[in-house]
Formats: sequence, C-alpha cells, structure tokens
Amino acid sequence: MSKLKISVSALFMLILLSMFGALASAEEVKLPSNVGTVDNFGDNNTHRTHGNFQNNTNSCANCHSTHNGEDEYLLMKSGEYELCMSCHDGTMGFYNVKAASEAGVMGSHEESASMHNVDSDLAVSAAPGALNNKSTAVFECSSCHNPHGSANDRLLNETVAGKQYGNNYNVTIVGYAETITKLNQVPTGTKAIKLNLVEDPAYAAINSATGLSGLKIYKSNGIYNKPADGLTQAQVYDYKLNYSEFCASCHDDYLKNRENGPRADGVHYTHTTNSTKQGRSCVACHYAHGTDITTLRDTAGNTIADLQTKKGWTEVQAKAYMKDVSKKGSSLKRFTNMAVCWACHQSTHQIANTPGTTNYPNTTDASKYFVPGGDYSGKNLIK
Amino acid sequence: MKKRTVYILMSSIVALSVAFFAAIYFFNLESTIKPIVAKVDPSGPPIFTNALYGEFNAPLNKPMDVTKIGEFVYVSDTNNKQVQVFDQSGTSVFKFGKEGTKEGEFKFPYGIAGDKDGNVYVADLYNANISIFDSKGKFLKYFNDKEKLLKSPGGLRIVDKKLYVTDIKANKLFVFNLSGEKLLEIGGAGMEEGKFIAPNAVAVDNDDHIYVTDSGNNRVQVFDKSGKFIKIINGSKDGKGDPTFLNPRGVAVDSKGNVFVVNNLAHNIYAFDKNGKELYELGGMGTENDKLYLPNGLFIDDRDTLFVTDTINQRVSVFY
Repeated sequence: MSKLKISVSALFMLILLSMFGALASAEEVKLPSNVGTVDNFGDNNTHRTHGNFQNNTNSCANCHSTHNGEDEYLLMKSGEYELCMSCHDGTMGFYNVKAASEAGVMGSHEESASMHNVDSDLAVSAAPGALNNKSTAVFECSSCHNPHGSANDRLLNETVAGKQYGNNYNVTIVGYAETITKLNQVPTGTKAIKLNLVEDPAYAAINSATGLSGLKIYKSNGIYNKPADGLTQAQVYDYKLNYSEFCASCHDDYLKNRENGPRADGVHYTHTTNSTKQGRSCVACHYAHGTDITTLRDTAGNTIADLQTKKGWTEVQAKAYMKDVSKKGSSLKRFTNMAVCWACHQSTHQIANTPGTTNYPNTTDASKYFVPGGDYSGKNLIK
Repeated sequence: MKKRTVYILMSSIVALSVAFFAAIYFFNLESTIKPIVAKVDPSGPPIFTNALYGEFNAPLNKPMDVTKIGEFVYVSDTNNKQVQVFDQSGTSVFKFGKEGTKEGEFKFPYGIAGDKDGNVYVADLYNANISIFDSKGKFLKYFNDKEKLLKSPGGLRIVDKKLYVTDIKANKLFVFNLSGEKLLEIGGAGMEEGKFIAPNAVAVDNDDHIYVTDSGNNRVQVFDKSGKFIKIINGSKDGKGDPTFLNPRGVAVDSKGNVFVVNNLAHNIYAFDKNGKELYELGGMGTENDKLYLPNGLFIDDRDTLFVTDTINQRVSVFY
C-alpha cells in the first residue's frame, strides 16, 4: 500500500471519528423528571410531588403496610406527622409549615401557641364544637390534606371526617340581609376551595428557573373576598362558603349563619361563621394551622416584630403586650386575646361618652372617640 | 530433622516477629496497619453493629446529622434543639444547646462538623448561622460569614480547613476558609447540571471532589475542587435516566471512594463504587436493628464506620 493510501484512510478515519464524537456529545442529556407537565385539568402541572408517583415508586410503604395495616386502608398507625415533616420542616426550602404563613404556624414552642395538634393522637371527634362529628379517626395531617393529590388548592381534602362538604350556592344580598341557598354538592374531583395563591416572590429563583417541569412555589393570601383572577362573584362566594364548610366538617356546631334569625339554633346567639361578608368566615379570625406570639397581632395589625421595629419596643416588652391571656389559650387566633373582635367592631362603632376616651365627657366630636393610643387599622387584615 | 535446625527455625521466627513489631513501633505504622487488621471483609457491605439512643428518659428527637470529632460522636438532636454527644459505646456523655435565637441556642440545628482543633460547628437552618463550640460544648463564636451569604445553612462538612455548607433556600453550595472568606460558590435554583433545588448535604472525597445532595431534584451532583460539574448520581445507569432516589439526604464517601447516599423516603442507604456502579443497599423501612425509618444524616469516619441518623427510630445507627 502506498503511503498516500494510508494517510488518506487515516484522515478519513479521523473525520468519521470526529463526526461520531460530535454526534455523541450533541445527544441530549435527559434530565431526571418524575412527572408529566400537564395535570388532570389540562393546566400546567406545578405540583410534582404528591400524587404523580413514579413508576418505580417506593412511597406507598411510607404510610401503608401491605400486610400489617391498622385499618382498612392498610395505613400504619404512627409516623405520619414525621413523614410529612421530613420535607415540610424547612429542609426542602419551601412549604415549611413551621414558618409563619397565611395558615399560621405548626410545631411552635413559642409563648401563646395553640395549634391543630396533628402529632398528639387526638381523636377527630375531639374537635371543639363537634356535635354530629362522631369520627373515630385519629387527627393527622391527612385529616385535612390529601397527600395523594386533590382538586382543591393546598391539597385540601375533598372529604373531611367522612363528610363531602363542598357545595354550590345561590347567594342573594339585599342591604344587610344575606340569603344563602345550597344548590348542589360539588362532585368529587371538582374544585370546591380555591385560595388566592400567587407565585411566591421569595422563591423567584425557583419560579423563574427553566426545566423544572413547571414547578412553582406559591404563597397563599387566603380566601378571596371579591372577584379577581378571572373568578366570578358566584365562584368567590362558593369558594369562601366552602372553606367554612370544610372547617365545619369537624367543628360542626360552630357553623352558624343568620338565615333563621340571630339565634341560629333557636337557643344561642352566635357570630356568623358562614357568610360571604368580611369577618364572617372561620379563617377571618383563626389560622388553619396554628398561632403563637410571633403571628398574633393587635388591633392595629402589629406583630411583636412590628412593635420592635415601628415603636422601638424591646422583645420582652412586645411579648408581654402580645401575650394571650385567655384561659382556654390562643385558639389559633390571628389577633391576640379578643383584639380579634375589637379590630372589627370598635373601629366601626366607637363607643361615645366612655371614660378613658380622649374627649370624655365631651362627645360632640366623633373623630375623638378613640381610646388614647388606640389604633384599629388592623381591620383591613380581616378577610 | 536435627535439633539444631529446629532451634534455628524457631529463633528466626522469634527474630522476625520482634523485627516486625519493632518496625511497626519505631516507624509509627500502627495507624496504617490497624484498619487492615480490623476489617473483616473489606469488599462486603457494612454490617449493623450498634445504635446510639441517648438516655431512656431523654431520647433523641429527630436527629438530623451526625459527625465524629476525636473519639466522640456529635449528633444534632434537632427537635430537642440541642447537640447530644456520645462515646463510641453509645453512652450519652453530655449535651449542649437549647431552644432560642441567642448565642449557644438553636431553632433547627442541622449540619454538624468538627475542625482539627476539635471545635464543633453547628449549622442552624432557621437561625441562619453557624455556631462554633469547643469540644465540651462551650459556645465560642459564630462562624464569621464575612459576606453574610448564609440564609438557611443545611449540610455542613469541614475538610482540610475548608468549610463546605449547603444553603437550602438559596439552592447553593458555599465553600469558605475557616476565617470566613468565600472560596467557591456553586448552584442557584434549577434542574440543569450545576443547579440545585434544596441541597441538603455535602461530602468531599480524597480527590477533593465535592458531592452535593440535590434533594429536590432527587440526585447527587459531583463537582471537582474548582466547582466544575463532573457527573450526576441518581441511581440510574450513568445518572442520565430517571432517578431512583426519593428525597436523598446525607452523602458520604469512604476510603475506597465508594459513595453512600441516604434515601430518606425509601428508608435506605445506596452504595455506589467509584465509577457510579451500584454496589448494595443498607437498611430498608423498619424498626429492627439493621433497619431505618426516615434516615437523614450520614457520616463515615476514617475507619469506614458509617453513622446514620434514623429519625423516627430516634437513634443513630452504626454500620461497620
């Protein structure tokens, strides 16, 4: 063979090699993704963890025991709270239930803390106000949230304590009178609760990242008070009323309105808890998860952190002021003590001619009816 | 055989033995010899040996990470907001720390590591700082994060006077020198190579390769010492397929270069060889001795002993 032939074939081989090399390096690297990008509603799948289990999943056994279950769902008795908390304790960065959010706090050891105690073997039927709720189940995270996925926002259960609570309603408001008629039950798999969720600016880096099959971290602003985000007034009413129905699946005796006059059950007077109006749903006054000294507010809407920055108070001073002194504890309230009432009612109906007000006993100037230092601007925080 | 020959043979055995041990003694070879002698089957999987539980009345509550400093085992006892210290036999020797935001207090003690002087570094995920204690648990100072970079420190290791810490919310790995100057930063939110979602743990091998558990993306990413991406380990062949990891947490490398990854939601530890080939699994869900239940932190000491925090079983399990 001539030298030329050898060098030509060597060159040819080199060219072929580099072509294969280029092809191989250009081959798309498949990034791991465990779920599809479109959910059951044709929307972007922003929720990649619960439900959407992988074909090789080993997750079932976290909660279910094939041969030694404690109930008909083969559920294991213990470990649910710890399981949820293996991610929701802050170690995933987002959706940390121990950090204060619209739902309040979980697992707090701070002063004035009260919580939905999902790790204490409480019975679901031990809920305050449980009258028709005779559930024998143990109260767990899954009493309210469905780890397999839900049509509702925040994976809120479609059935709570055996009750399918979601309805559509006809709401008529004439002046102060509000008439609410239940139309039909929301079918399973249809959204009964929609919350005002916005992409959380604190996680802008994740939310704007590409290639995450649409993972978005949302911040909840709670229930809707008025039509927004393309919702109709009727939808807003439905979602709001269903939220109270959701809570009342367990706390059923607390669900009251004034359809039958001020004495809902014919005996007791009660604050309305399932009306479409501001301040008349469960979450207007209470957090869903829990409260503590850091989340409680005064009538001005100040937290202890606000008091320290705005008023220059010491932490000790602020805590002593904010401390809940109610005998039954802070009851998951958004405002400390009964400031939750005061925030709404004192600001709209200042009591005239009261000792302690700035112009007592002169009551002619309505703008001076405030208690010295009184500030009721927290009203706008009530949903 | 002649008596004389036997005597010569016997005395030469004695002479050789004396020479052997003398050599070990005079050349200080104990430390190099010991692991070889102690290892039963160097190629097989480590076997459960014992567990550290703490006192009966004050057990560990959600132990999240573990490290060995000197002869003591330090455990971040996260729900008790303290650090528990054990001797090798599993006796709780002392504890330090309590709930709070002040010096010596914790809200979520997580990554734990020791420096050459035996000082203990504890990362607090909520307090957003790293506290430094002496080996007896006396608070010395906060780690001087000069650029105030740390928002939510998680995994923490100190190797060759460099402090490696993952920041879970920032989705980053930072490498500092011990006086707090940033040497390297890797990451940012995302799924591409070199990006993280909730990195929970870090390890460094003998080649100075950096292993970062990228929990949210169900994988471990490997970088060289300059932070250049090398590869992904996720349980699939070559790390390019779908991950078999479920919420991976602790990561550690043994003296042979084998990589161990705690698979929190699958309750086991995967072992891979240097080339990423899967070797074996340890654990599996359960409460028995060699089982794990939501394991999290992992530390391998210089004798290749594995320490893994077993959160629901409220113990640190030791595999050797």
